[in-house]
Amino acid sequence: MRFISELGAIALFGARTLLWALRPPYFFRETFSQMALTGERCLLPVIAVVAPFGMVITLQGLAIVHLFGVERMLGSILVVSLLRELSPGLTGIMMAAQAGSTAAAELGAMRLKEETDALSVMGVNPLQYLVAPRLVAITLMCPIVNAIACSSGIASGYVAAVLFKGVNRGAFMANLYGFVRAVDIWGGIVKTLVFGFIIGLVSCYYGYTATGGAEGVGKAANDAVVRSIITFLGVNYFLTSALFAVGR
Amino acid sequence: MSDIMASGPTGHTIFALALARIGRWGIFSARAARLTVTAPPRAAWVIEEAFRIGVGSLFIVCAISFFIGSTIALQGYYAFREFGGEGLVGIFVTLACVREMGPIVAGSMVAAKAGTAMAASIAAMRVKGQIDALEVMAVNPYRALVAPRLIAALIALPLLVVFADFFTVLAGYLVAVHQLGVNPGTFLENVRSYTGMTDVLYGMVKGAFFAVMICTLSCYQGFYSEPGPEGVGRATNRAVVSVCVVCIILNYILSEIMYG
Repeated sequence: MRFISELGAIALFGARTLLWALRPPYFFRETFSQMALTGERCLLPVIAVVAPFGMVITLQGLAIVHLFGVERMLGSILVVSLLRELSPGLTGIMMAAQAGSTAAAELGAMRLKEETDALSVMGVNPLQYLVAPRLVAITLMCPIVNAIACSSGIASGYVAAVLFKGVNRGAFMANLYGFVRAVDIWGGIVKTLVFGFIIGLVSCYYGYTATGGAEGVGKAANDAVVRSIITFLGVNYFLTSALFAVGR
Repeated sequence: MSDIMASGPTGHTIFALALARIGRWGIFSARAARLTVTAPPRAAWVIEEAFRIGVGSLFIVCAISFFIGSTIALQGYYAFREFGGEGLVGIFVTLACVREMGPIVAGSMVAAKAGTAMAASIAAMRVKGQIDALEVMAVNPYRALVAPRLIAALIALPLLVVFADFFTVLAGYLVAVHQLGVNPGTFLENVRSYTGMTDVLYGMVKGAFFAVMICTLSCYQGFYSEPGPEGVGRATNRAVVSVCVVCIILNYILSEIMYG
């Protein structure tokens, strides 16, 4: 029961934020600075996770392609699995861990020091000034970070395959984009936009409604990471099924 | 060391700052490890922490494993269909899940749930001066706070890896057989012949390595938290990010050693 009422509260919070975000005044400067901060904070951790993962796929993929003697398939397996699933999923997890928990901690600290109430008293709507820029920034930065992370994953897979494992360079490069379809590219963008929206919304909600001292801020950051990851991985299964059905 | 820490990330000192932090983490972990061996903490503390880490993360590990397993089955099915190998999805699911995804899912979820909770609670104690109070009372904070969590994580994480293995493969089976129409006998035969006990045990060893990293990094970030509510939030954030990055890189190295 508590789960359902919390889900409803998050949905209402999101609807109110979106309604306020559409009304003037618009805080463009605040939104852009949040986007820059989000990108700066997330880019390195995301690359640090996706690049070794490209190597792991290469390593395990080699075991499978050797079974069937189709070493030339390695490049296509790497690129397709990164584009469709791994890069959006890992980017989402790291964005939740970095941008989501930061947003929750910042909003939680502001709430506990009554800075949000002070904003309301000054006639500035905190949903417009604090929540909407963060939500928009995380949503828009997610696909951009994902694109860079994806390239780094492919590059590190190339390094692992060609330089470490001695796969033929020509065979690897020639089949790199063999299985890639348009749906993989725009599907990745749609997925990361949805993930970014979920992460931003859930994190801002737990930060905005934080209660009780220093532990409260820690708990808000913790809840933000765990619950946004659960939510977007659940949504991911349905998105994957739908995108495969569309792409056929 | 404290001079470098105080100067902040400006210009050429940023590299020195990173090195100083890694060194401080190393000293912290070495102290915690030495105390864990020489003066083992009380069993009651360890059991309480193991319950909190293991049972507290069990539900989320199983739920995430279920989604990951189903997505991997979908992914493998459509990738292998390109060359008419739909029947091989069982091999793909079992290799990917038991060797890689099981340990990673268990590790990252324990990092996200138990690790952030460790960082937040120790940081809150630091901010309120409770760690100094412990030292004043002649209670070694490493022994009271870090060592029980370290042993508890070493017990709980390998067991969670087994749950993650089970639920990823189960979800892969359900999606492959009931949604995609793969023959159940073929799937199970592939699972049985391509993964054995060694793969599960290697996964548990990976889990033990992750447990040490999660525990020392999260406790370290909490232990050296900055003051105020923002400090606690920042410590939590740093804990989960550093753990994720270190575990994924460590996972590649371990995979290379075990299966390379």
